[in-house]
Amino acid sequence: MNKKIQERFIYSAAIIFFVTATAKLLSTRSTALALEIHDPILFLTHRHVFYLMGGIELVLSAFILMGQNQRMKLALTAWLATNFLVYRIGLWWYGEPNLCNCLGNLADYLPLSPWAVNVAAFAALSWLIIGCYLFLLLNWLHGRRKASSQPGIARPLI
Amino acid sequence: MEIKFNCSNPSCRQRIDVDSSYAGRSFQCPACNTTLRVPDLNQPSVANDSISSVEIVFKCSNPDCGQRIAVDGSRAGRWLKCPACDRALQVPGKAIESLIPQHSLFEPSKKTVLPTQPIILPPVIVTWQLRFWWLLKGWGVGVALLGVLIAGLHLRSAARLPPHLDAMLDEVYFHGEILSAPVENKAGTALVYVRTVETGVGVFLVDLTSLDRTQIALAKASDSERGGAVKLFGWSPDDRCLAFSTIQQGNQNRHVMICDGTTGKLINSFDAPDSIEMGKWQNANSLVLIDHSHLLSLFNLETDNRLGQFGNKGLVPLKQLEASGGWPVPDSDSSIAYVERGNLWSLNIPANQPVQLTTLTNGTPEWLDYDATGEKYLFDFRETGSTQAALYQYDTRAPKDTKLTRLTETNYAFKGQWIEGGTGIAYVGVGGNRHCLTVETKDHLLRTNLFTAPPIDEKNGGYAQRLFVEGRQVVRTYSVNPQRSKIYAVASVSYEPLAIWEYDVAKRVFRNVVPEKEALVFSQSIVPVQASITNPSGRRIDYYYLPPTRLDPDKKYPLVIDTFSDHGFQPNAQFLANAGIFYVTASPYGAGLPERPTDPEDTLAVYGEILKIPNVDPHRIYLFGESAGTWAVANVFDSHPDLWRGAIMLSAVAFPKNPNGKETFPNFFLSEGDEDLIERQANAERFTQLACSHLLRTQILYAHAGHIFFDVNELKKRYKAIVTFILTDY
Repeated sequence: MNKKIQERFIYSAAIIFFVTATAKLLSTRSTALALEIHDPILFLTHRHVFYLMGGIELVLSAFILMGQNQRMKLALTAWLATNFLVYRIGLWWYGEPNLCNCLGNLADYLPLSPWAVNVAAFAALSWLIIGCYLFLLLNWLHGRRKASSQPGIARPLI
Repeated sequence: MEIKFNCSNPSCRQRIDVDSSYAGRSFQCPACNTTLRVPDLNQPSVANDSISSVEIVFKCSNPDCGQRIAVDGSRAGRWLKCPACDRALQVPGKAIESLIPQHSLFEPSKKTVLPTQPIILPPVIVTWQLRFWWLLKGWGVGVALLGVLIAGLHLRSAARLPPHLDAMLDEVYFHGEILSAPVENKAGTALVYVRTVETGVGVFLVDLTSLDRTQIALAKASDSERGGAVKLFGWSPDDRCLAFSTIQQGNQNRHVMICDGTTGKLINSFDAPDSIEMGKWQNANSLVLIDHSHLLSLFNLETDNRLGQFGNKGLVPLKQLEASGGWPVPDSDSSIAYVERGNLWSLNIPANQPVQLTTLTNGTPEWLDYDATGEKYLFDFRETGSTQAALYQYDTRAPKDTKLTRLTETNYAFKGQWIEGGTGIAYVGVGGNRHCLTVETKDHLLRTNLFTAPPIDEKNGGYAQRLFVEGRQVVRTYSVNPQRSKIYAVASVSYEPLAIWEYDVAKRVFRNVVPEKEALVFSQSIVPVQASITNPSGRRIDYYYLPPTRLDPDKKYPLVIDTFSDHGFQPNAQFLANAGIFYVTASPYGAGLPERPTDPEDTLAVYGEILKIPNVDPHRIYLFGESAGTWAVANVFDSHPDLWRGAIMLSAVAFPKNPNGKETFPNFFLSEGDEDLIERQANAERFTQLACSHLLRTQILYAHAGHIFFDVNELKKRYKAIVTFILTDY
């Protein structure tokens, strides 16, 4: 049961990464000058940050969908989600705007307000962080329990 | 009767009891959702099926082996050896007993055959094709989700916009501007006029009895001059031919077209060597033309021996005038009057002999007209260095010292024409600071001023620089019919775009012969509501508003408060109101463009007043400003941020200092010309970023324009985006 839920969670992570990556990459097509301004944390232009993050998310989404190692999928998802969280905390700390919230403004494809984008992004990030770390913890506990119940000698075949 | 069995999922094994009527049917396990089939006990193989249908597949726990093993469900919980590495393995799941359906009809004689050896399956090979399929499937789901999201949002936006928005936009902004003075034929049965059409500039014939209109030619629009696309020469004296010149290729108006005077069908055309400035019918066979290089020419339909060396068929150069030369007017069948070197001249064509008529000094005559009945010339004369011109007549029959007479004082502006058989004059005059069409007849009772106009804005180049010049009453130009009894004015009344009005001088009767617009289908012409209030300082504030069309009394509508007033016939405000948005400005209507934006105090006073209209939604009020108007927007926004849903800032030069809208989430729409100052564009981007950081909705629309938009198409895009922004506010 847990395994199925875990698989579904990881699948949802792949979809989230794909959707946000596509939105970011579509936004780079905008001619808005704001995209040429340097990101205060990554020291790249926002356009390049969008390219970079969109690319990473797309690659991770592909890995999640194509790979078989569940533990690696969870670990990478946790890593990227944690990076996003740290990035957001950094922006908040420096009092800088998060241009990701402007996705709806920058691209006509997504007529979403920054408020709506922010809520959606925060919900998705929370989902990823909580889910990843929860399943990593459960897997770790399960592994420990399994190791302790492993038989020492071989039993005869019926 | 019940059927009892266990879930086939080895990690579940949920005990399930169902009624026998469910035998053979599929359902989902309530615990793990595995699809199960209820055993059908009437089938002989039920016992075997119910057990053997459970197959347990697992991998060898030896990390170096990983062999996939499949065993019968009855082996659950048992130990066996891995056939590959001999490692002892426990089959996942509980003991076999629970898998056997317990039922009274179960026949014990039918022994269950349990396999004693595990079935070895080959390892499942996950190919790259399979992985790629998983990728496509996953991304397909993502694309579908994104598509649903985008389509849903766009559909939601579209649902909030009025139907036929684009058609409404085209209709409001395209009013078919009448570009030059119309010309009536000699019989008084038809009129020719020039109007912009969506593909260029059209030449139209009007039947003056039925008022039916027919387009007879199409020209390319002029880049430099409103009336430059088509020059009307009018009908020949026998009404047999109608002539005009057009731009067909490039930017030069040099394609002369001669059409049938009744049907408008083309009967002759040619290209002049240079751009045509003016043309008149010399007689029924000859057309006199003057081009951009001041070359006077004749175009003879047929050879005319009366014109001597200039009577050959076709285009014949007549006389090269000096740079000051122009305004040719035939003063007989074989002679032509014109202006050159500050005086009037008459050229006898067959003799090729010019005669100087006047001896004026230190000035320039213009707008030459000739009355054949009284043999009198009419022209205006502006002394060098003076801004004021005056109308003069030169009477060939008068004694020498009274031949030249000044007819007007200080109210003359331009284009004097003889009326009433040379006994009266008409001209565009100035009343106060407004243009009007002045009619001065011998009979004092018939004298009148026909139109008034908004203040003349000399600083901004008058009318020439405006996209929409129309106002409450405007006269652009006019003509007098060949009988000198009627005036055809290109004028606007009641804030509408320009129309053609026929005025019968003797009867003092007006008639609209060409409407200001073709029939409106998707939009309406909204009459502004004018009112005034007194602001807290005790000053009177004139304001006006345009309510939305088809206003539903039970519905509330958004409102924009402009810090300027709209131009001309107010297409911008008309479009907003047609789309379902109230438009209000604290400016008097029809007063032209104010020099300064409205005072913030006035804006707030009008805001308080307009809220008394029950259909105004107090939660959707937008400040609206262009260029200098954005100072007023920023000022009012910063002083009262809680009142506004947002701001529309066009070619912004100022921005609210603290767009903090955490409680009300105001929205900002910015529109910039990409040829405007880079610094202004950068400021707009910075403001957008700042607003985004406060989670405010912002939108920047770039257009191919400078600080002020002079292109109607760019203006249309701008106002469509504004309407969309306001009506899809989320």
